[in-house]
Amino acid sequence: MKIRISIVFLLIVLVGAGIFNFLQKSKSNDIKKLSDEMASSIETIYETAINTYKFSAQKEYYYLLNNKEAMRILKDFKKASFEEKKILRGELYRLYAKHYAYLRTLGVRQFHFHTHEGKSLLRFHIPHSNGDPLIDIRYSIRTANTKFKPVYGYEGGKIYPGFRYLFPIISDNQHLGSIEYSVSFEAIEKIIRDTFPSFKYHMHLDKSISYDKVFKWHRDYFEASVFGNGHYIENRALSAISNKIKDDPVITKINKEIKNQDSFSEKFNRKESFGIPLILENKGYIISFLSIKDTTNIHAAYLITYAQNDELIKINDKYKIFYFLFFFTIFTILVLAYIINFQIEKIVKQNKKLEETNVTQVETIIEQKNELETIFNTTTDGIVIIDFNSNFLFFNQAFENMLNLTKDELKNITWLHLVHSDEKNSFSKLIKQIKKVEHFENIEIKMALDEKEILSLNISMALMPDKKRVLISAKDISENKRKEKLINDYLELVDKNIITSATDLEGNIAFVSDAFCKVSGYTKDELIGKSHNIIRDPNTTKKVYENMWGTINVEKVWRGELRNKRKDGTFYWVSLTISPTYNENNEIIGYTAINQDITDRKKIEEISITDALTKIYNRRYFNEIFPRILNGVRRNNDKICFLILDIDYFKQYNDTYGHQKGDEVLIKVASVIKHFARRADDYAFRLGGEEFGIIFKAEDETKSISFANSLLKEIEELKIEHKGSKVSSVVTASLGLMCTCPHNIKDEVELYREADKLLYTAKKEGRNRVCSRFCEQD
Amino acid sequence: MPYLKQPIITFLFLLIFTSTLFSKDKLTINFAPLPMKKQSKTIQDFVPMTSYLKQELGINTNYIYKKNYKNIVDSFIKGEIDIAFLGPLPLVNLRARYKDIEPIITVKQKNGSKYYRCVLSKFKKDKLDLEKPLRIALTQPLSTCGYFMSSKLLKDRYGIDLSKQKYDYKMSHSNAILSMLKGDFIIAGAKDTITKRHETLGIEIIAKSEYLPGFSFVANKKTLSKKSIDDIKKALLGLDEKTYKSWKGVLSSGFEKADISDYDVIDVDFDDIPFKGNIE
Repeated sequence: MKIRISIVFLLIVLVGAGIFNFLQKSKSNDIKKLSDEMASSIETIYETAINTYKFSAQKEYYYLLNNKEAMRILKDFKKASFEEKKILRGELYRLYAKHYAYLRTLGVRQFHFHTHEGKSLLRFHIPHSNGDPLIDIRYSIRTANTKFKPVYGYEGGKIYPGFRYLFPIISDNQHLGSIEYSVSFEAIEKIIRDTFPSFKYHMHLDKSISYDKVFKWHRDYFEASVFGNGHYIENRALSAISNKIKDDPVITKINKEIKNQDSFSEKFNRKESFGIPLILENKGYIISFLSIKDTTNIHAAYLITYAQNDELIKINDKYKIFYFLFFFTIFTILVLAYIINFQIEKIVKQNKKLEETNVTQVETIIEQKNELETIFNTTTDGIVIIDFNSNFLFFNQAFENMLNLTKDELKNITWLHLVHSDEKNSFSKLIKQIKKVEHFENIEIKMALDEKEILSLNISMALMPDKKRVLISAKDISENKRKEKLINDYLELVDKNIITSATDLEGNIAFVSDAFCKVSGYTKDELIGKSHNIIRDPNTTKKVYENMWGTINVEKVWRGELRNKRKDGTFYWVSLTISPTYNENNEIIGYTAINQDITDRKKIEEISITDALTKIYNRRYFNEIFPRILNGVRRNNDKICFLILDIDYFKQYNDTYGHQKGDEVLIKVASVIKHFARRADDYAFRLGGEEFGIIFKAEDETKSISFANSLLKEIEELKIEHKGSKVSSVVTASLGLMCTCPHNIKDEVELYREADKLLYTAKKEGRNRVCSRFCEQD
Repeated sequence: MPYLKQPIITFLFLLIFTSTLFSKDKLTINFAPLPMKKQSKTIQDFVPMTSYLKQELGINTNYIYKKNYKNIVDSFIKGEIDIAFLGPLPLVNLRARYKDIEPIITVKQKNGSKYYRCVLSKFKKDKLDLEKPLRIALTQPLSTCGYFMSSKLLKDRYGIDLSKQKYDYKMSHSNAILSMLKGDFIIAGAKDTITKRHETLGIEIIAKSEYLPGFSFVANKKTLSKKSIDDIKKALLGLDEKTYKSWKGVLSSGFEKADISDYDVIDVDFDDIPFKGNIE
């Protein structure tokens, strides 16, 4: 990370350096252009000034050659004696003194005649200084007097350096010497100044043409240049031109500034023209160093021009803006880079931290991913991702298996393509709606794999987070549907054929099957919500129900047979199983009864245990039930009574009134018995012929005897004429009553024998009476 | 002793302030040379000396060039000039008007003497016609070799009264000579050494004066301290021969201590000297 950031910063710095370098070069070029223009202008004016004087000098030379007096003096001078030369020199001075005064006004400083030998003949600027040899030290004089050619250029001299214009003087084929017009720098400067009046100029002379060249006594006329390096200026105390800028504070500051510049000395020593732009105290200056060449084309001096130039300030200001923008941009980029770097580092640190601390989480995620993949790959549910055009984007193996289609086959079709034609429209609506609803659950849809095979799927749809795809979870419910149909068929079958009902905990009916309705004669609406008592047989003893509730209340299954009452008042028998029903919390919420209609069986059973004439239980049933009753009495520690009744003199009655009448008496007596034995625990039997038996639970002896006497009395109260009776005019009966305690009962045979003995006793004692015996209490 | 700290500082401050205020030890002196030649040439003669003073004493020189001798005297009196290089007549004129002067050094002539002469000269080829008014080129009114000595020499040599001739002031000795050489004047009055220098131009000396006291550096005692005056005097008198001989011009022959009494011989009535020429 650090290397990457370093590279970014390095790139910014490199690009910045490149742009900065470009700006620097551009600025440098702009300034150089300005400086070059300035230098070019100065050089042009300088050349113009030099050439102006050249032209003037040529004209003066022409007039000189045509001045006969001058030519005479010079010719005489060539052959004159030393003393004669003095006078000739004075004559020459007198001849040209006024003209020299005029030349001075034109800027000519030196008007100098040389002898043909190259000596000074007459210096008009210092007339008394003459006769000194110059030919060896002055190239121009040597050239003019040996090669007889004019020479132009800047050159040092014994007195002053100057811009020289030398001409050989040849008259009448005689070489008489040479004439020199020398122009001071002031004169050249004046012409340049006329063109650029606001500039300031100074001449810095090379040592070789100034200090080294002049008379020794004249060296004080020069002083070292402020720039040093072998250059001199005219002594500021003596020279008007030097004095002009002597106290100029701006030039003093400029000189100090440029002298301190690193490259200045190197440029200055090169002795070639150059320019220096400078901004000082919010003013622009261009200091142009024009290299002045001497007559041999060697550097002789620098013409320095100090030019104030506000264009420089404009350029500088322009680039200040560029630099500001540049640095601001670079700064902004660096700050942004720093912030980004800071943020990246922060994120990296956080990520690193997260990486370090969350390796486990990542592993967990991978594990979860693997698990998910495993789930996707192993789940029996099909998982599918489709787009809104129902193209398959993803599906798992289970889905392929579910549809029994390969990946390639699925890729070439859409989900909608597989949807059964009856449901295509509704599925399309679902796809549209899911964009708003976002999910649907438990939608059953039929898929038509081919013309015969239809697959039922239960699907859940959810819009993916990107809102562009739909996730479908599909479960194949074809088998369930088949089973459901079977169950429904079965339930329908059950409903139609099985008498079943369900109640809540209070016995209110919650459900009844059609079979129940059919057997009970009620409709479902008439039953549901009503108490189960609606079908209760009022004759069914309370004990039966107590037994039933006692069983199911302790969450046990109760099985039994009940006789119920139909809506039309008739009865039907059911064998039923009542079991509790539970909710999902295993809490009992009601009871379910499954009944079997046993009415027919009961009828058969009743016929088999009922005496056909009297409609009470027959002897067969007595034999069957008597032992069971005794067992029950023993279990419950109850007292039981067995009563045997025999119609008195019934044979005589049959003989008197016939068997049909006799049967009628039997029926009537049986009816009375049946009436007396109406309690649940009472059983009445026709034991044979005119003998009846009643089994009933004894409460106490008195009540039992009273019960027996009442029975006899009731029979007597039938008042059925019986002429053949010896004990009464109406039919009567004798009764043997044996009531026994449980521990006294040996078996049914003994009890029957004991009761029969008591009947025999009753008959023996006069009939129409009760003979009884009770067990002894502990 | 902190309570003494403030008085001590105050005392030191006053000491430095007063010593600075009343000191005449100047680092820059205003020097006025006598304008015997044109400005550059006049100053050029003194540049080696002023360079020497700067080197020896650290004194800078500010040249005050006055074309007119009278203006030099007037400026000196006003305190604008610390040292002036004066000939005998200006010096005598100054002494008459201003008491705080001290001639410190007198320059020697080429012959080694501090005395010099004034001469009259003419171009050899010119002929003097004494019957007609002569045209005389003079230096300056207060120049010794000007009206004062030229008048005397003309009287002594030719019995001519200068006031009755045509004369004009050319402001310097050289100019007077060259004006004569040009033909504008028939005679020029100037210092002997300057005149001799122009002999290569066909000049001849026609009259010479007696020796006159030389040119001297005169110090302004009002503007310079005695120490400064003594230092300058000592420095110049201590110059070795080789050094001053390397100098060109009026100082190249060396110096002597000035003697104010030398100038007593200059008996002049300044009212007799006209300050303008009589040529229209």
